[in-house]
Amino acid sequence: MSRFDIDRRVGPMRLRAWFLIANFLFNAMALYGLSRLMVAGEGVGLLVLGILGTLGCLAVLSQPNRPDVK
Amino acid sequence: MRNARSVGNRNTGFVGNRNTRSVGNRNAEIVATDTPKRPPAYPLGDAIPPAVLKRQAEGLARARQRGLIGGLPTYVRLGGPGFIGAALTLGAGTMTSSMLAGAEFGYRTLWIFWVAAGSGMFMMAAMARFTCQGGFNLIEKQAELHGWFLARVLTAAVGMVTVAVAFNFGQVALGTHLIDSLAQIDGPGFAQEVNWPLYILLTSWIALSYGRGSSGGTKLLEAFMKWSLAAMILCFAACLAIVGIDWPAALRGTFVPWLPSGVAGIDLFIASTAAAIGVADWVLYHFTAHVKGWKREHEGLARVDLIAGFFVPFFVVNFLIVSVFAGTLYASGDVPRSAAELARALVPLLGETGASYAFMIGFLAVPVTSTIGLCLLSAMGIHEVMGWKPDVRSWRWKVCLLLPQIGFLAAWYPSPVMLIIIIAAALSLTNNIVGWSFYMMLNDRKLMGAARPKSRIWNLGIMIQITLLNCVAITYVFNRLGWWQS
Repeated sequence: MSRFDIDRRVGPMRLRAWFLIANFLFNAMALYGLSRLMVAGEGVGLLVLGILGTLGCLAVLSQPNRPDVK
Repeated sequence: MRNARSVGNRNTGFVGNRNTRSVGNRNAEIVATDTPKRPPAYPLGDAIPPAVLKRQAEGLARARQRGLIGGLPTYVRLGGPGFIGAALTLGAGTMTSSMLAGAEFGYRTLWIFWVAAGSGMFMMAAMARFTCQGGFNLIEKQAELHGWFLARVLTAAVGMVTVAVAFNFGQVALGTHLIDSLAQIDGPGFAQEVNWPLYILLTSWIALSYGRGSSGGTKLLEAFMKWSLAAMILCFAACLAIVGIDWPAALRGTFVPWLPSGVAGIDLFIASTAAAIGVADWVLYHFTAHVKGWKREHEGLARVDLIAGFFVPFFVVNFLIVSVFAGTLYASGDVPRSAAELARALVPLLGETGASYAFMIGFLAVPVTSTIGLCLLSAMGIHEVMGWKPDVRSWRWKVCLLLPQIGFLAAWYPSPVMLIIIIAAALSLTNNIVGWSFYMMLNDRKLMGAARPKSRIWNLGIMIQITLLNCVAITYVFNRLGWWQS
């Protein structure tokens, strides 16, 4: 993770912004899975994937801007 | 602070490209050279003479030498924006939630309050960084970087102005009701339809004084907020002393997380944690810190102000309110839903007349201080929407500031529920996007230079709050689609 520059530009935005969007999508996936689980007893896969994706995005997004990259 | 050499302050760093020089190491560190000369980014900061700021900086240096505890009186005396923020947040809505939590769940949801305020502190610290080390106008800079729609519409218009106008109805309704209730304890009463000018005049006068008279007006407002928060704490603590507290249950509720089962519990957690501190609190803190003239050397003060002025009063007041209701109305069956009805139901249970007065006076401070904060939010927000230069002596400022006082209509009519629902929906759907924008700005190398965060924990704290705000937006949409049965 330490060699990974999250502030590199990818397309129109920095990678950090793409991860913010990914985090949002994983949040939605987790909540949808949770709602399915509570209503119909299904959706565990979506819930787990959403939570893991959210945790992954949080780990990446917590990374500070690298001082050695201009 | 790895790979960075500070100049003059351990929280070093500088923002922006002007007046900077590179130190010349390979990390291209940028250092500040102009803190004392930097012109105020927010015109209201002009009100404070430079000599006063210099004396404050010297006082802060001495306070730092005495340590956190020894220097605390200085920090509290010089602080202010944190207290204004706490007073704004502790309004009719928060109080209703706290009273209902105590009446319905006893002490068991006390932990939510420190988690809510704690998770919000990271973004508030970012606001302090933007003000003290950035020295820019946040919304102007946001417009430059992320577009006018995000800055002027979502942040200023939705996050500040609509909040100020719509939510003051509830404050006025509660405040005028409490004045009437106070007058009824030992007298014939003082009807809402008659007492509203008293409420509006007091709150307007204090709000209008802000930023005037070489900062004397700012001091007046900040002192009023500090004393009002102290009054809330003392009055509610007195009530709790009479009602009594089950300490083991209170401590368990504070430190052991518990939620009602099912979707209701998830809703309660998301709504309570995400709603405690939002865009209005973030931006108000940024601007009120600018009004204090805070610069790089004030960032330590700003952080103590956030803890002592915002976090502690927020948690203590909510702790006391929940505990009072947990000790009286909990498990009493049919619990009223509005703040005024909850207060009315509580008063007979307090027994002594003195306790009733104490509760009502402490409770009256809640809407009064929120109204004052909402007036400031309205004036600052409208000026940012329009790109106007704020001038507290202008009629434009006064009209913008008094706009939320249209809430005086709440003395006769019920609050405009439809308007509040629409604004709450807009807030639910946009708060997170504004949060994304501020997070990106904080981590922007060009904007923040060496002042950008070096800590994973800081970024993680901000991201946790943003994730909660995302969840608010998502559950709102799911609710409309029928996928989430609240």
